[in-house]
Amino acid sequence: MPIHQLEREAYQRLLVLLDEALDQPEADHARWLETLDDADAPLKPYLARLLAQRDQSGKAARLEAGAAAMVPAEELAESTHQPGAVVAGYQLIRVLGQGGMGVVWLARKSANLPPVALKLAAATHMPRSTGERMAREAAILAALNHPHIARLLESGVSEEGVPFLAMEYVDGLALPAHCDVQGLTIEDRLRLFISVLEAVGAAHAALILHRDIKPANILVNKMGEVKLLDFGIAKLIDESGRAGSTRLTQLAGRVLTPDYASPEQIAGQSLTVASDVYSLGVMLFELVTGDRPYRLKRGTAAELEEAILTADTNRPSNSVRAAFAERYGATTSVLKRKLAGDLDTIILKALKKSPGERYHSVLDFRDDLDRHLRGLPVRARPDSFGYAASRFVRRNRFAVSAASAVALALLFGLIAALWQARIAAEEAARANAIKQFLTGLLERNSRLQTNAAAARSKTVREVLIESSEKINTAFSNDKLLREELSRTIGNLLVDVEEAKRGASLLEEAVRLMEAREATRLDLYFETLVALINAYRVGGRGSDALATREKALIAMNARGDKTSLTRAMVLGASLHHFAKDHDREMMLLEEALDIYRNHHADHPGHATTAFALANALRVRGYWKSATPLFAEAVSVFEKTGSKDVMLLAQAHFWRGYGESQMGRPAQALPHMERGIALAEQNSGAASQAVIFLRSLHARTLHRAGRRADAHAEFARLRGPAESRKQSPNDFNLALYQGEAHVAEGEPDKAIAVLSEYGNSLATHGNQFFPNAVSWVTTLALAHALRGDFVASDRTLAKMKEVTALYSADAPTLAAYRFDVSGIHLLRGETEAAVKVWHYGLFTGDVPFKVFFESGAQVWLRLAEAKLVEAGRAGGRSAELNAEALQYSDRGIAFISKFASLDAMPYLSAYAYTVHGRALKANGKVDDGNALLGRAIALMREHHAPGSVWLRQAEKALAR
Amino acid sequence: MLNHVDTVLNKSDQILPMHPADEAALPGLPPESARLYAEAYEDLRRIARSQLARHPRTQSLETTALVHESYLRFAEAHRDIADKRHFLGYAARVMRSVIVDYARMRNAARRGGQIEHTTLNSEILDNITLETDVLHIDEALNALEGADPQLARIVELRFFAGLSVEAAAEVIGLSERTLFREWEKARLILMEAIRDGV
Repeated sequence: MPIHQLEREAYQRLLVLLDEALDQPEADHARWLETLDDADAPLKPYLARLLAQRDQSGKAARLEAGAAAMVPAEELAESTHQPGAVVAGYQLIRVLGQGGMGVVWLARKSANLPPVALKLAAATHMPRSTGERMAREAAILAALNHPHIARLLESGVSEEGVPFLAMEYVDGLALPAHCDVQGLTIEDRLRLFISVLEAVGAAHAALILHRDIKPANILVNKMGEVKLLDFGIAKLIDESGRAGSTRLTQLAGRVLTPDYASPEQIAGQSLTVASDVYSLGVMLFELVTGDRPYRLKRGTAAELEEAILTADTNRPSNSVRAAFAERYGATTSVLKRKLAGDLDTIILKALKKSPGERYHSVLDFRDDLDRHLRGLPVRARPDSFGYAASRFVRRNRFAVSAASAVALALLFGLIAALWQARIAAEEAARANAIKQFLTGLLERNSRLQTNAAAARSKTVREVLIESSEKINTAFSNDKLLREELSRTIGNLLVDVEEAKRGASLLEEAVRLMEAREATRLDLYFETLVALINAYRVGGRGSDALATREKALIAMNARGDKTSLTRAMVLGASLHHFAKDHDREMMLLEEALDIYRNHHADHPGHATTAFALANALRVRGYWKSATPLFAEAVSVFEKTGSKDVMLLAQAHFWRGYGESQMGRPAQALPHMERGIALAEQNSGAASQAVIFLRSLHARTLHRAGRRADAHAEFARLRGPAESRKQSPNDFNLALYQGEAHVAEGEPDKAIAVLSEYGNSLATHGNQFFPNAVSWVTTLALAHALRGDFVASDRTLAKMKEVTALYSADAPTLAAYRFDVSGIHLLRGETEAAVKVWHYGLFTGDVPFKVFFESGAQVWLRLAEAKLVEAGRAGGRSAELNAEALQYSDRGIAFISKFASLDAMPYLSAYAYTVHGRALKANGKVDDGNALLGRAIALMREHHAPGSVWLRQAEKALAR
Repeated sequence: MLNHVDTVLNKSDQILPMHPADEAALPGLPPESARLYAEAYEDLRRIARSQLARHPRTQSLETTALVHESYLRFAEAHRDIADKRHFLGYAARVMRSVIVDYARMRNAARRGGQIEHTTLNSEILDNITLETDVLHIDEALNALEGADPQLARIVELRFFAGLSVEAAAEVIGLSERTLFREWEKARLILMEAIRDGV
């Protein structure tokens, strides 16, 4: 035992004795040691060791030189050779690498032989150990002959006395880099890794432990062959199966590469093949996830060592990094699905803390990977009960219908849950009773299943409903059991969309808990959360809200501010049921706060961030909503949530938020990722996907990708003759109409929008702002053609819309912009300005709400002033100056939040107005320059006969 | 190299184990002096780090000069409370934390696989030995501290701050002869720590 592990008293006694010893002449030390009495006998070996240190003059000198001298610079061995020189018969070509011990050269013996990696020992401060080490490495390599291990070609000492090793030169990349550069699939990666395992297995068979397995030591050459390098610190395994423990191995074991080191390596214990298995496990983890098994906060070596020794290993499927998935050309969720299950199990088995629980040999490891690749069940077993069930279902995935697979999984899960809950011996009988009860139900149902998928799809529901009806009679005299079954089956019923039955079982569970006065237990609150969820799913808003209040009051009484349960209660999304939306948002914010600070990795964190983001989104607060959607995405990916649609929406709205804030081009990739996920989940033809795609097409147009946008509109709407009116098609028609107006083609806009002239109330009822936009866009299109009668007639339809929604259209930015535009076209400047003063438009709220409206208000005001100036005569100079101020602010506003180039339609409009204002103020050249830019933009993005283009050209000519 | 060291050193700030107001570092100091020391602490760390970054093979002589120089600056600013003995003890403690952090970070950076594959890991063992020795000594010192705090102070003064026997004796308040004996004893323990690999 090292001295520093001595108990304090013993240590103090040791120091006293050491003092005593030092008082003696050195020659007497041995004799003095013998005189120690029995009480001090345990300290004798320590004293002997300490006193023996006196002879170590080298060490003493190092100590005298001080600590600072012990932290040397990154000294590289100076190469004493020049390229072209010949050493040991090899001509040196170039240096491949340098280290403290020597230099590795690319060298060749003759022009017809392949080049080699020639390692030359340099004269350093420890030349002897260097030579020894190289000799040892040579001996080890010589014993290995395997296609996946870099071969030793020759070793010895050169004519000038330099020890050298000539090795097969591997021209290639480290394994992970190779996989990434080649964009290899998971399966290809596994196949390469199997070669690695075979190479290490061959070394083990030759009784050699590598002990420093890491990516840098495993290269893939140009032919795609794996080559294992560097047996510099490899060690021979002795007969007991353990590597001998010399100074060097201790040092190496403790010092090198903790990222891939095994727990026993970190702890400085002796090593077996299991240590290499562990390092290989770390590498495989990294190879398929792009990440390491431990997430570290500070990234220090000490923290890593601590993690290797004690922390739980992350599941590979939960560790896939988005950036990695991207390189690999897939989404994280696709990758996750590949890893979840057997690969998780295999890797986690290799990474067990205890060597005995890992694969007993590298070849066992290899076999399991091979079985996995061939779709066979693997030998490694996860600890959980669910494995048997999931394996059964997967093996029979074609024979068992999806629904009955769910039924089986649910039942297995249920039994497992009850087992765990009732693990105590005296409860075993009870758990058994439950099991019999459930398996009885299952068997009866299996017999009833004659054939059809329809019958099977009823299974889950039927089993659960049947059990829910029997709980009371089957367990009439056991209240605790009734409570537990009510809770468990109630939850499952909600999962299979039997919300009403589920709720009544959960109500029963709550009642039973209250009757036994168990209302302070976490379980009570968990049951309330489940009940709230059941009400929510069943659309019973007021019951849900009331239950939540009840839970909150009880939690406050308990002084509970930060528990997970509280976060779950607060985060229950009841937003659409509640009248007081501000309070709902506050509750969500509190929930989010608790998750962030206390339960960051809980899936509820993601759903709550999403719920809050969505509440903000619906109200138009994109600036606050967008980062919350991003947060939801990152937590989803971290926690490996299975709710793909929620993840899809989070990606999508995160992107759309970017667009709403003036960055449509940046928005598109996020939106597209969301759409891809949604398609995977619901199919490309689903209405949910078409809804997302319609907004995507709208964003394409905003970003200036006109042709793409129109192609997408046409594709999504389908040919006119087979088109059916629907809320989704209404939205598409609207966005298409908006696009035509933006491009200066009011005729086309009118044609598209008029399709819904008689069915606005039927199909425009999905989304209030869209219904309003339909009215104003169509009215603006008519006004652009000079048809103010039709424009007025259209605007009158606004009454229908506001009545339908009982909401106020003029609060919407789009309304203001279009309607003020109509007023301007009619020369009604006062009315055009007044539109912006309506209702909520006080202070700067809409600026925060919606990016474009901030720019639009200034530009419309500038336009109004220009029109007024045109007819004012005497006051025109003043009005023109005002106009310039406004247009200036409009431009400034756009540049503050986005790039002028990002939104070609808005920019062209802004340049036109500002250019006109400049000209009106005598800055003719500047004005013309801007108008020129506007015209150039319009020629690129507008229809050939664009009214906006004509306007700009007229202004330029003036 | 310089950049590399800089990042390493900046990183080491995050894991700095010792707080300036650490009582163990400043035994029996009145609070207002402790505050001044805290200021000197930053000064010390800064110059120590830049010194290490510039001359990684700093000799003990330079370390000593560094500590004395820093004391002179401190004494000039706070003539009233400047107590050389306290200050040097304190400075030694700071040096220890700087050097140990430095060694730890270098070690970690090197172990983190930043070395090209061709350098072949076995070759860096020799350099690592020295650094890990510092870390092992630090660990042994932690244990020694529990058994004999004064002896640990002596190690800090001699080994980490590079003070001479004479200067260290003055700081601790022992005769030179006694201090030399104590140091000799400590040295045996440290040497043992190096060999043991703790």
